[in-house]
Amino acid sequence: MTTAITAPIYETGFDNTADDVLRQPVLVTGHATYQEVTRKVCRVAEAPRAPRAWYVCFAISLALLALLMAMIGYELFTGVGVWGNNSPVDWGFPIINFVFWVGIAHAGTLISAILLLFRQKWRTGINRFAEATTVFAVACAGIFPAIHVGRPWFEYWLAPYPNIMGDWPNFLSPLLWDACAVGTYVTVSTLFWYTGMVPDLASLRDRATSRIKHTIYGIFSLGWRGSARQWHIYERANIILAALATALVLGVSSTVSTDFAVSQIPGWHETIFPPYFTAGAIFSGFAIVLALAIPARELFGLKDLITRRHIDNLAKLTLLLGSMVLYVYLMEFVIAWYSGNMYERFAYLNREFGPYWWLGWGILFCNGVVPQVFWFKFARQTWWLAWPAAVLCIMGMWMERFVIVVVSLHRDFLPSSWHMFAPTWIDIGTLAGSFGLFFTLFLLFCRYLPMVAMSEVKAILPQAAVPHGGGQTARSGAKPE
Amino acid sequence: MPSLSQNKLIGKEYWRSLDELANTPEFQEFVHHEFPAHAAEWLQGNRRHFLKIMGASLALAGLAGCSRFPVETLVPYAHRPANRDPGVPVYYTTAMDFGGIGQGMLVTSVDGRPIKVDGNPTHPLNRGGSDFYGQASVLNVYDPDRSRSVMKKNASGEYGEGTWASFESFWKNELAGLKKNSGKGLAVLAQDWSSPSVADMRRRLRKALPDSQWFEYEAVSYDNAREGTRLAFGSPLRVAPELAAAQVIVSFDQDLFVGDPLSVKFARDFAAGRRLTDPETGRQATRMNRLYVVESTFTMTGSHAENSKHRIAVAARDILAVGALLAAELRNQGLSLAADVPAPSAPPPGVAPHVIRAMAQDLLAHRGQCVLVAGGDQPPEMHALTAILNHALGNTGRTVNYYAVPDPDRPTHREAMVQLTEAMRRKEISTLVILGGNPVYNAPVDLAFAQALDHVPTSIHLADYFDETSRLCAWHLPQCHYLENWGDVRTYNGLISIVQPMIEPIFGGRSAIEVLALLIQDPVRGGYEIVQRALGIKATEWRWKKALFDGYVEKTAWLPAHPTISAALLGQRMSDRWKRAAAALSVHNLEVVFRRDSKIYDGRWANNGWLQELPEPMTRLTWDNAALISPKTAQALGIGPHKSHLIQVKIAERVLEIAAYIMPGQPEHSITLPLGYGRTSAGNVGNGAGFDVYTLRTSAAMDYQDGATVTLIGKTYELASTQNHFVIGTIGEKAIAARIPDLIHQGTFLQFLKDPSLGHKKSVAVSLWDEHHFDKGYQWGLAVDLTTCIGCSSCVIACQAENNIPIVGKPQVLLGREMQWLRIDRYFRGPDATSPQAVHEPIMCMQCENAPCEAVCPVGATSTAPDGLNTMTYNRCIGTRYCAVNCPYKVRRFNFLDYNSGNLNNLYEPNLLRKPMNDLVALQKNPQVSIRVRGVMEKCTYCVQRIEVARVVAERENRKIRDGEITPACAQACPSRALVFGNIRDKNSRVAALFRQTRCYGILNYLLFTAPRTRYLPKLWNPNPALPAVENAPLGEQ
Repeated sequence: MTTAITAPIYETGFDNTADDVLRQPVLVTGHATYQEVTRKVCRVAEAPRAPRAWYVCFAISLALLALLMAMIGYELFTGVGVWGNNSPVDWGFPIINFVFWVGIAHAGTLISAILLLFRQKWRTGINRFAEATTVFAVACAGIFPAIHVGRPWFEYWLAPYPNIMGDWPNFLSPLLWDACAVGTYVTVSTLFWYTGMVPDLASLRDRATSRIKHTIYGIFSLGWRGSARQWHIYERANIILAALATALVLGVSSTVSTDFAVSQIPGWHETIFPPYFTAGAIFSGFAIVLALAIPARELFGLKDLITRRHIDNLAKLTLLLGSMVLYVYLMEFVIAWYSGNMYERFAYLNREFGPYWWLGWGILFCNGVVPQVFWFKFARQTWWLAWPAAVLCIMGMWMERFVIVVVSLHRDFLPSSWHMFAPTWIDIGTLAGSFGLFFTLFLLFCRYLPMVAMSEVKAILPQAAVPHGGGQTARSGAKPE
Repeated sequence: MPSLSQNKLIGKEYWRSLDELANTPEFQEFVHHEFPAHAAEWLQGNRRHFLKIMGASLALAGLAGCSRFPVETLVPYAHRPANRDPGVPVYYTTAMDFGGIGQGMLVTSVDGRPIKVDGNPTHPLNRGGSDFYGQASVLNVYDPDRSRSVMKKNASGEYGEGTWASFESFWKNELAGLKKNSGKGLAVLAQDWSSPSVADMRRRLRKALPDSQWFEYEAVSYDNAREGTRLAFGSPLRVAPELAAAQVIVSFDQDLFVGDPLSVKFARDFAAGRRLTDPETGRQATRMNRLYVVESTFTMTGSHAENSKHRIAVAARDILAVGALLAAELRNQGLSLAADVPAPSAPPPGVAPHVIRAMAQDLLAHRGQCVLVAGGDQPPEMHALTAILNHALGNTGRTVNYYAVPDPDRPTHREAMVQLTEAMRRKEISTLVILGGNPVYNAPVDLAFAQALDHVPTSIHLADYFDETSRLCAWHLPQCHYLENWGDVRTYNGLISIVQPMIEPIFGGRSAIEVLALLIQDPVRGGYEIVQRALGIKATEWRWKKALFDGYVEKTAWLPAHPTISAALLGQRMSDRWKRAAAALSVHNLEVVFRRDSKIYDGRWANNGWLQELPEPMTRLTWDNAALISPKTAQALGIGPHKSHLIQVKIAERVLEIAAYIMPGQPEHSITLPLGYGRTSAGNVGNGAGFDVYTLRTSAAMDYQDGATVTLIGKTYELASTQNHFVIGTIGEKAIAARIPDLIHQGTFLQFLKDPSLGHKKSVAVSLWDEHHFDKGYQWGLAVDLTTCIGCSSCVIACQAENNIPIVGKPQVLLGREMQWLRIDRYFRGPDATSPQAVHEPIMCMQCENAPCEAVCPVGATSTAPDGLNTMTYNRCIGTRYCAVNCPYKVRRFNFLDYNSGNLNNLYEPNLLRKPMNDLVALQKNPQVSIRVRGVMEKCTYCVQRIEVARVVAERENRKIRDGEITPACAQACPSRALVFGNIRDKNSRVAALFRQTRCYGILNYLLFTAPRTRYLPKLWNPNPALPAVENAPLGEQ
């Protein structure tokens, strides 16, 4: 293919958001040759020094990670009473954080799996780091159930292993379903992320200038040589993993929701919970991908690969899922009213007018109202509007989990047991620390791994669409003669 | 307990082997090393060492205790004594003196350790029931803060440890000086003990030192009743209302059910007249008693008044006026009174004449079957008035008995304290011996007892704690616990019980009678011998053994007196009171009422963690007292409802800073101040809890006083209430109001007569699958009769004692982490916050057949047993807390921190670094119940350990467990027998009889289909038809 000239050149910052049904959208801008893509992506990992901002962010993240370790250490040696949990709010921050992080994880899987199956090619620009958010978010999520229990040193009793006591876990318990779902999720999402990265790791290996880098990237690229057979197997594996992951996108949050839906606490005991949690999870996932993509494309000079169209699409999906979440919120009120059950009705009245009213209205605002700004293209295309909106959505989703867990529990059936919940600084430290873990991992990923799936992006370069024989641009090629 | 050198007193053939052993040199050596005087060694030694000693004291308990078992060997158990199995509990009778009234107790002792105290089933006061003081008293035995040694103040005013020997040598010198002028200058200040032995020692003291003086003082005194009966009958009498025989009961400011020395009896008798279904016979009652309450504080008794019109809330100073109005109304309706009872010119505010009229009619319709009672805080005139009215209504001898008091001539406690402090100031007292009590803390503040003590050269204080008074005395002597030494008590009707020790004094303390014996250098020194001498019964006599076995000495009860009215002075004193009519109460002229605290009484229980953490039955406060103010008065004073504010109460020049608690049902312009808190030398538990109200209490006004002003000082204070108090908000209150009828079924007696089901319908829910049938073997169930439950909370402490439930401390209660397995929910209902009613509902694990907790536990740590118990496998629990979350009754308790090791003040230290709990505390623990570690869920098990013991016995005897053979701790303690446990499959069981009642319901069962095994009989009221309830939504929580 010597016809690079025939490929049109779209300047960096080219507005590729317009939809022309006759043309395939432009997904990569700038002087994007194959070499350019490789260079741009690998440059980040190969640079001897990261941008100053990276060091600042990394230092902060590392400090927060240290805080997390300290908090967990203190908790393990003292007891879960160091948190604000009480009776009746026996579940507090750990469960909130767990559900929150699991939700965050979902967008990555959705982007890389479902959009892959649906042949949404724009996903290639963002799928790598969306998947990375999945893996790191699941890592954060996994901490919380582990430290949440009263006697973590007996956690292995959750596993159905043959033992001399003849004990067996209780498979009726949603917590066990949860453990299985999250365990599967960690496995599949990590595999998916890693499998997808193999060709790019090979590129880094090939370009490595130092022995150490060469060896490390060499080990992790599993001897990738780019043969047609390898590509074939690679594509098949990706599709299989995508199919598995697709089921997980719908399954994991549904399972997590059964922790609540299977119980009989008003505000939890609802059949709408599985789709509700899935929508909420993907919503928060898109919000965080959006919130990360906006600064990342600036910081690492990836504007040509993560284009305005990507941001636009992410914002639109955020709008869609936010609207679904809003629908569920409103439906919950309707069903509570319709049930005629005073305990159920009170749970929702109390959500909006009880002592935590500001959270009740807060989630309606953050998750219901804020995403509606994305109806407007101006908002989708303006970083100082889109980024705060995405951050508000993330905060809203954390608050939603707080509302579900704490606000439902703090006033259940018997008013004598009603009690307020207040987090301790250990709670807050652990939450902050979990962000430290997430960002530490994320920053390391940005620094040392291919942040954008080079091999996949190359497939959607304008010149990649040049049909055999040449002469036609990608756009006109799509036009039926 | 006899010291071993005196074993010769014990019958030889019976105790032969011990005698033989006791005379060996090895054993003497052992005694010398291990016993009394060396108590400190015990605590420094290791656990094995302690258990050795415990073994010895077990043997001694056998020897000195119930005298049923011949003890053959001492430590070690190389040869087990017959009928004695290590780890198998044995039961002994004993008695506790409380407020001058003996309470008959039954102690559970395991391997020589008393671990549980219950009411003695054969004792006429207790009949097996007990109040929470009795239940909690066992904790004090193992309180590491108790005084450990004789303390002596040296010249520089510092304390050093002394010994009993050093005290005795000091005292011999002192005594020699005193003897020279026949005891002049010696004064003894004692508590009000009912003990015949104390009386005997007192006689001996007077004989030895004729010019010595003896004073008695109690901060919470029942002297007003003495003086009242003196006013009515001419001589002081003890009043004993017999509520069981009464159809109509009128209480004038007496809290019958909580904190009164007779509470257990009152509760039982009151319940007897209210029980609608007799579980023994299944028969339905055709009558139900009716309770009217006139009171100045919303008490547990007031909450049982039939509806808001049956409870008149007036300031304490106006209660006599209400009584006089009632007397006038009774006279109008044709009752002839034997004395002149002038009525006040105007009724006090808040008293409706038609209520008084209806009360009078009701009383007249029940002549001889009604009773009026007056509270200890009310003036003697009120007691005289109730006596006269009871007499006129023909109640004397039927619903109220009078007994001659043994010491009719003694001054009142107040007068005694005034006389003593005056004598101290005049330097007439050279030696003051304070036996028990804590006058520096609780004497009237105007008498300045502490300063008066400066004028006394030699002061000696016998006390169980090194307390406020000890700190100012030259000598402090450690007093033993009642379970540590011999003694005796008289109950309300004079029946004598012997106080039988269960354990050698852990800290080498001595009892008051032993100290008195030392003071007069009596040749008889041991409590064991002193009691025998005082009672005139020798240990070798059958009577002695029977008295120990029964828990009381037969034929020692007094016969009721038959007094005649001679109340010449009453009319004059009452009209004097009306003439002295003070300024009307207002926000600028508030009344303060000093009341005994429901939990720590006059302060003596301040260091008892169980009682400190017990939610006060009405306010649900723990760890604090608070000024109780009515909602309207609080509003007028600017005290906001959303936080607990610190206020300054000022009377004359005296000022008290205290947290305010807005209490519905409190009369306007009257503030109740519970005594007993704000201790500074109570111990680690009691120090700093609450506010010291004694700083306002003067000898002129020991009960109540007006002229107080209240100012906000602009600070807030955190009160630890176990029921949310401040943040309910409007929608919460509405929800609670809507839920109360759902959670606590209620009705009136008339409704019940028409429809015994009270409109209760069986659930029509159809299961989608074949439910598990619990149709084999025993099926345990517990019935709670809300009508007879008085909400006294004895069961809460009984449960805590039986099941090794830890206390968690105020900060943890504030967080909502209290551990009591059994709680008593309190909800207010009624037309408005000024005249509410309160309903009480004991909530423990419901043992659901369809347990929501069970399905959600991932490791199967909680599961329903074939007998319907919802069992908890502590060892399997990993602490996900899902069970607690899914429990609709919220009865599960979680060990958020390691509450069972370490101390309350180092809960947040990492386990490995924590200073461990004092070993001594562990000795109270019930060995049949495992101690839960941190991270483990726990809950009520219906005392499964007791069920299993009964099961083993029954299986060994090849028979079925009999109904009544198993009693959970709560049901055992319940003075009103409101809790009935048994096999619901056995049609003849008591619990089945109650479960069969159509009105019996399971909380939320209709909604959640939990099929609970704890079922409730609705709360029924019996209002006077002339005083129907005000139809209005219940109030909900404040």
